[in-house]
Amino acid sequence: MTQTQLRQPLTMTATGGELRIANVRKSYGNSRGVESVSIDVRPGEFLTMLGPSGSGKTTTLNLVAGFLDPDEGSITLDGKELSGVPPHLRGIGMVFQQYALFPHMTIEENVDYPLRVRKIHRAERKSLVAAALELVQLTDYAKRKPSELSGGQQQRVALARAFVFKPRLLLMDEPLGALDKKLREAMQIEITRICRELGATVVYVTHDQEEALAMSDRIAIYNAGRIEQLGTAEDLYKRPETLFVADFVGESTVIKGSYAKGALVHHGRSLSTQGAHGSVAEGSAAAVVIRPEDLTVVPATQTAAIPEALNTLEATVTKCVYLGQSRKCLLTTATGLVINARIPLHAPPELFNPGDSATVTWDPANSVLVPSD
Amino acid sequence: MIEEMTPPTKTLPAPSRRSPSRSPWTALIWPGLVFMALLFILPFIQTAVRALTDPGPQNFAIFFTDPVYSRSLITTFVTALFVAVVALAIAYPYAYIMYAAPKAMTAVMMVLVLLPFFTSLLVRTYAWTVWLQETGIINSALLNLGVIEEPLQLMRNTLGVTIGMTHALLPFMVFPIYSSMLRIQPDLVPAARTLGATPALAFRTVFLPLSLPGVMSGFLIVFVMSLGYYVTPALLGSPRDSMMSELVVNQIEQQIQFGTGSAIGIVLLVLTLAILFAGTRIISFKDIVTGGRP
Amino acid sequence: MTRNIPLGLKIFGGVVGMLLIMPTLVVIPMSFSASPLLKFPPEGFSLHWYGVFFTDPLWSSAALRSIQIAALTTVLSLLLGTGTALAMIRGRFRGKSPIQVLILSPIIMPIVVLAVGLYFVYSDWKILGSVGGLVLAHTVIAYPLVYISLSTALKALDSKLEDASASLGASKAYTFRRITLPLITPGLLTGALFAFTMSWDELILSIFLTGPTVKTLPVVMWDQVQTELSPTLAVAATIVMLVTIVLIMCALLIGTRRKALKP
Ligand SMILES: Nc1ncnc2c1ncn2[C@@H]1O[C@H](COP(=O)(O)OP(=O)(O)O)[C@@H](O)[C@H]1O
Ligand SMILES: [Mg+2]
Repeated sequence: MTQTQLRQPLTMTATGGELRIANVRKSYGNSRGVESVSIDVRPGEFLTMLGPSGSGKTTTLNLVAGFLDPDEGSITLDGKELSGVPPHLRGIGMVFQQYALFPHMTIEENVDYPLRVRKIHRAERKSLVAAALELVQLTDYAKRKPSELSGGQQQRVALARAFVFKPRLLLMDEPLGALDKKLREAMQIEITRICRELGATVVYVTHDQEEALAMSDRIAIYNAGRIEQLGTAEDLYKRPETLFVADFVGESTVIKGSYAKGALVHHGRSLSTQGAHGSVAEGSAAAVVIRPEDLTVVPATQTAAIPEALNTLEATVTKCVYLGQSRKCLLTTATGLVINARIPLHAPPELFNPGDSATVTWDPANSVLVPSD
Repeated sequence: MIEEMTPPTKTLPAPSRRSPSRSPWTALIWPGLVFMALLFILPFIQTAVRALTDPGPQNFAIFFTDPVYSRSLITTFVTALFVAVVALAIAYPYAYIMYAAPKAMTAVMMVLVLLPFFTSLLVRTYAWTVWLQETGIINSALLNLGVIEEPLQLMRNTLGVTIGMTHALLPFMVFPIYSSMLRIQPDLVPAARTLGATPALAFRTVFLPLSLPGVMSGFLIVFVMSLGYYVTPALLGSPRDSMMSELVVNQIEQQIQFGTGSAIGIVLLVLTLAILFAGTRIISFKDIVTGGRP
Repeated sequence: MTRNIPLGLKIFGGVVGMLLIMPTLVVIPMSFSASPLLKFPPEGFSLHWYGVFFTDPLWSSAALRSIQIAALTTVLSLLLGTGTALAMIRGRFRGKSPIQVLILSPIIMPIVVLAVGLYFVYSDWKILGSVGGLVLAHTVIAYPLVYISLSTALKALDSKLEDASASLGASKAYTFRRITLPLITPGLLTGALFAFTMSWDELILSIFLTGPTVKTLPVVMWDQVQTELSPTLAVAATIVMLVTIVLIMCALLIGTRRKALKP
């Protein structure tokens, strides 16, 4: 970070940095932190780490920020190795879950802090702080203390403070975790807007998949200290590579069995996987994943109309819930498999009641084949 | 008359199940209050009365006529201030280590502070004389090693009093500082670091200011408690530069001058109250006494 | 995240930790001296002075007196402290904060002045030099300690538990006996130990308020410190210290159990 860079107006920081995390491992004594994590974050990209708690997201961020040193592997920003560089020299902005605003300083002083420690000239600091507060729409709150602001406002201050010094990279660790649902949704839009305007590279952590889907260019799915899959929201939803991803992202029906000759054998029933995404070894344990909207539920009386090419399973309706745009139906097969289907409100005129028999059908090309354990 | 005025209030719905008049617990405040009135407030009143009437207010003149007394006023104040400053200089880093160290270490350090807190002050002060006196452990060791030729004067002076009182009062400084450190949100220093602050700068601009409430509370309690200390100055202090509490004991026990003794006592009390009152401008009385613990 | 502590700071912490307890411990070897002179390092080794302590009526009766007074102080300050804590936390009345200031004041007021005042009051009441008078005086400073520990315990007590008990049909008295009391017992015990230790160690009030027949152990030690220095003093110091340390260890253990009790 140079002074010249800071002198340009805030909105012109078009160049975000390029972060490369390569084969990084970190353990805490006996307990696992992360094992062999690799991610390349492209300049200007909004990348989200999504995963259950304890899966190593915070550990990864702390490694990038410099609060932890990796046991193995390397982390580079714009080609420069970061290990050994103390946090204050990394020039990486970070937004903390509990905001981490300095309670003894005003909003203005908080945002000014990174500029003051860099010994920027007073007049320049003033205009940068003003621009940052304007971008987060808190100009009128400059003289207040953090405790006098609402949660959402505090979060915006934390954001302004993290980007005011024009870091090449912004890290955010569950920044919206403490807010209620409605505010969270508004802040998602706000954060996305600000980050786009800044053009910064962002690594964002959350355990809320809707948030991840709504905000990110790409998403890294964490599980037990590893990245299971890295891709766009659509990749993860339409083409999950592991059972964990299929299960964790969105709703789905998972049918387990063993794979043989282009079909999945599930309790003696052969289900075609013709045209399905993904591949597994012949004879291995595998699972077919189908999204709720790709399933069709047909009343037991109308099975004759089902085309040959589709897979079918007989099941009993457990319950149907009205969801506004559609109806969600849960069904159970004789083998105990739970099927999660979504029925468009306009489509079939039939209503299903608990206990009704029905047949569930799907096009094998809409299913995904993943290895199973 | 009063009876006639009450009915309107009675028609109002009761604000809560435990309305003031009906809480069965309220009456329990009385024994404590009566006790404090008789055994805490009354003694101070009696002392004030003695100071003013035995034989008269001229008891207070001793502070103007006898330099021993005016000097003791300064000695008391300066010693207390000095002890508070030294205790702060030792307690702050100690509390910081307790804060930053792993749990087991913190527990050990906590016990180390707690033990002297509860070991007899008399025993501790006496033990210090074993170390500090002319023929004491320190002087003997230094003489034997040939570091010094004459024994050093380590007690019966300000040095001795400061050592003894700092030792005695250190826990009162450590606890409030430690608990105010615990109240600092743990993310703040890392946040300052990502914003570009060196460890030292993050400490100075974020951690230190946020631990100040504990520092003030500790400083005040140590300062105020030092003002009234008796045992330590009596055993380790200079016989020439007495603290006020020593003069009080001397007047009552040796000179049998109840009026003068009371007058000195009242001045000491007023000094204490004035400093406490000034302190409560900044932090609450309860926080001073309990070190900010909830 | 455990923070790094610079080595210099660690050493400083170690030295301060040592200085907090080491100096006091010299009295222990001194108490085993074989010579009639109190000095360090002690000459020889014997239990002679322990024998003197337990047989010389001056010491043994003072020790018993101290135990008696400390026990009575504990009982009285527990009664007062518990009542006040209940009233302050459960009661509804005005002026709580000045009352709190009053109750906590003895911790911080110059004890010498209180001692002088009590001396005058006790002369009027003709209870100078009595056990009762000493108990009352010690209670003045033990009472706030009990109050602090009890009010902390009561505040930590979830009042929903009492509501739950009531909703299950228990009477107020039954709820107090079976729910409230067991839950504040650790607080009561801690308060009791604080009160006992405080009275057991108390010197200044005792100097003013004891008489020739009623002397506490610290007063006898005080007399000795100023006059003849025989190793019995070190014995007394060791015993006073050990009793206190054992009591405090109990308090700490109760404290750990109290934490464990929290859901
Ligand atoms: N300071 C620590 N000491 C020991 N283990 C830790 C520490 N921090 C995290 N861990 C462990 O590392 C793993 C990953 O934690 P973390 O990165 O915080 O997960 P996430 O942020 O995804 O919830 C967890 O199993 C956690 O128990
Ligand atoms: Mg986390």
